[in-house]
Amino acid sequence: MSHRSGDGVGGTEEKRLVRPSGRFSTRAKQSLSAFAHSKSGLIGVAIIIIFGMMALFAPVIDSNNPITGTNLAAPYAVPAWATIFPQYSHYPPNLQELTDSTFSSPGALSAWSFKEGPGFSYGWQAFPVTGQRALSYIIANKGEGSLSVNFTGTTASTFNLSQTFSYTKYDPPNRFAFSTFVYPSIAKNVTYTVTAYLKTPAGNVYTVGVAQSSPLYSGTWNQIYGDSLSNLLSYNTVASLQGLSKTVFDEHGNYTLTLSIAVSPTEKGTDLRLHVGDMSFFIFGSAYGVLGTDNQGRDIWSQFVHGARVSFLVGILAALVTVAVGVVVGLAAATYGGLVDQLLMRVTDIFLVLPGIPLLIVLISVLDRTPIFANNPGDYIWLVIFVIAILSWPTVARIINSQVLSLKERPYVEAARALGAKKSYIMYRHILPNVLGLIYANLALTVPTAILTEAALDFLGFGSGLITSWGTITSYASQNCAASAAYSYCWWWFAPPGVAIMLLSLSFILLGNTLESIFNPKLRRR
Amino acid sequence: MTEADYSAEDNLIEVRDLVKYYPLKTGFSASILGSKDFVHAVDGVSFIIKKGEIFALAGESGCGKTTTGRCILMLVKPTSGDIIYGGRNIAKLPDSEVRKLRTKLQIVFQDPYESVNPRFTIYEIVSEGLFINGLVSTDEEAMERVRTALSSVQLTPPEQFMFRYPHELSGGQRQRVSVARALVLNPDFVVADEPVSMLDVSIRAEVLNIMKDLVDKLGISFIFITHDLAVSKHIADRIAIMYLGKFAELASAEELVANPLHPYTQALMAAIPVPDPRAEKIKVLVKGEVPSAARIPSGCRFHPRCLYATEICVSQVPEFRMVSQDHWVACHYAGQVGIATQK
Repeated sequence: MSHRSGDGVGGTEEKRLVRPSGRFSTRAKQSLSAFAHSKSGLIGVAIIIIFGMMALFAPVIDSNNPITGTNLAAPYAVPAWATIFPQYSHYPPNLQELTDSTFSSPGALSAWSFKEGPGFSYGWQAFPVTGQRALSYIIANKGEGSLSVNFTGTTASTFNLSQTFSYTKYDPPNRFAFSTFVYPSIAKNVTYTVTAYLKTPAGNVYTVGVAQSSPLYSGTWNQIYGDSLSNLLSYNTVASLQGLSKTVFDEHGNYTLTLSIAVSPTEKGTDLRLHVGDMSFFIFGSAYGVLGTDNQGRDIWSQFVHGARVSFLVGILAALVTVAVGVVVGLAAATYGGLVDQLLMRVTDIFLVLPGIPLLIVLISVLDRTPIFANNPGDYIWLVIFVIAILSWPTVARIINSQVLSLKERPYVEAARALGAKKSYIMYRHILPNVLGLIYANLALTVPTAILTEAALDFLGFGSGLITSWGTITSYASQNCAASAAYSYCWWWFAPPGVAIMLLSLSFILLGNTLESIFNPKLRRR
Repeated sequence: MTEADYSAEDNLIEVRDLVKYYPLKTGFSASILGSKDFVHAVDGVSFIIKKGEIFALAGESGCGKTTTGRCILMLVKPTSGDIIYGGRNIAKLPDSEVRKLRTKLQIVFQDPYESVNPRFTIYEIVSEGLFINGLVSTDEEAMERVRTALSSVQLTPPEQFMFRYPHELSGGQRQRVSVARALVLNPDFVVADEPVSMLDVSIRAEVLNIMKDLVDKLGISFIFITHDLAVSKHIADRIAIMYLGKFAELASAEELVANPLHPYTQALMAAIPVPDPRAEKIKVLVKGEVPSAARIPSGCRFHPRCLYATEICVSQVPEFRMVSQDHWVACHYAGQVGIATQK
């Protein structure tokens, strides 16, 4: 060794001698630097990384549940940022109109005006019984305190609790809801009702909250509730077609909300003690979040972010299975040749000419009934991956097969045979390194096929409805947007998943093409 | 039909009635039913390679000379025939046994650009056979032998070449790497398959002289496959002329050049360019083109192109016979037609 170090060619060159690893690292370095010089490859990787991070951190990015998180805003809300456009500029966001509505301290009562009939008394009281926060706009009592109302009169009487708010900046909302809870602790010798009203600037009065049970139960929280899209429709008659919410908030000005408790004594010795919990008058935003809402008021951004997970999972796993099967079949056929080759390749041809989507639909519909998938809908995604792989492997098998067949005839392979190399050695040392690049490229190029197929299946309704994928989003969008000219055809609903499917597919194609050109120098200058 | 005169101890390899047919149809049905049509690539050739000789196989493209070379090395399995080497018929040996003989029987390919793996360094290319056959166990041993082999093909200093990649070398240098890859295994016998046909004329002589030196120094036998009679004349001890899978003529290089007996050999000789503008040129002595090896003409397979063909040439296959000392020819009219009589 020592005599060589002096002749000026030792040093770095000897490091290349470390047999497989040394050579691999030089090649990997060359490939990487070639990749760094490919603009389209870098763009592809950048897009993949962006969507990949989105998929990876989906629960962190958006904590809303994409499936069950309904009523986050009004249905068909546009994205919040869309209010920069003139036609959306006066769309209301989510608004909680009442102030000091939780009665958290005695001072909170000053935000309200009271009109008590004979026999009524009221005051602030710390009330230890708390209710549950069910949804953002329904709160029984947070526990800080409550308004305590007592009646000991002898004649029918009414207690009104009011607050006035102004609604001047925004267009009429698509939906509003009122909610409060009352807790009757004692109700002796009385009948009573609790109802909420809203008075518009023009003086029209609408019922906005009614007791959900009648009579109210003592010793528990009773909800007084009204939703402009459901129960209030039967308490208010609206002439206009634009819906209750739009009719009520058609005017700009001061609106007054009144919670009215009407009591009639039945016998002498009346005693009614009740607590009013947290009050809420919620205007559902017509502009919400990053990507607005769907027809059920669900956050489309959270569906979009979670959809990236499905597309990545299906895309990458299906591509892996596809390429694995394709490489095994292609390699085996080329290696063994003869009858094995003919049989494998004819089977490949048969799969190649099968019509893709119809076959997938049939397969999914049939396999769907098997116990594995029928009992656990979460496993449905594995079924989708499986059937996509079944359909896509023949292309890969053909490509790998023809490449190996061509490599097998290269003179240097014959030279290796002449040196006494076994088939396995030739496969490993001479053929596999030369198809490896092709395998990588095919892996990248199969991903978009899988993503598109999965999206197509979901769009057609054969995917798993339980999983919010980009395909499912477009499917729901197309079902619900068709008649929604009133909601600008909800572009914020179907466009993002469509663009994302396209971008992610494109990015993998860019990556695949770059890999292909790196590993196949003949394509390098195109 | 064997060259019985050669004493057995001089013989390195004896080829008897070597036949290689390729099926014409390779498809799904052919793989099940078998093919009926064959390309007669090599159709019964017999010869002996002596120790330390250069045996040239010359002929037009498609005459079967390359197939013959590959059959001898068992790179292509012959359809029938015997190849005797070291007292054993290697044509009948199983693959695993043949593999053990690989170090002794080597090949140099035609295309210096394709016959080395572009991903390997020169060191890896040359040492590959050593590692495959377990002749060395460490890189140090391998380097020593690779260095010697590279020096012997005048790639000096070897250190300057060992760690380069093939694409950094010229065609001639690559072809010498190819020769070194064969030599490093200390073979008895090397098939050189048109080793200089892809090289510039200017570097052909260099490579040829290296090969000739190696024969002289190491006593290796060569089969030198070529379509260039001028080259074979320069390098070979004996020359065999092949036509459509059979030998047309076989003689020592001097004898064949001085006294070509087969009309085909005469035509090939006449086609060699003479570096003298005033030299009298003999006109083209063949007509037409080589027939397909799938449809071999009846009788003498050269008859459709032969200017002297008669009835007997169409109907009877000429015997490959010895007409003078070690001069074999397959022609009914050997010595009676062509240049020999015109002189």
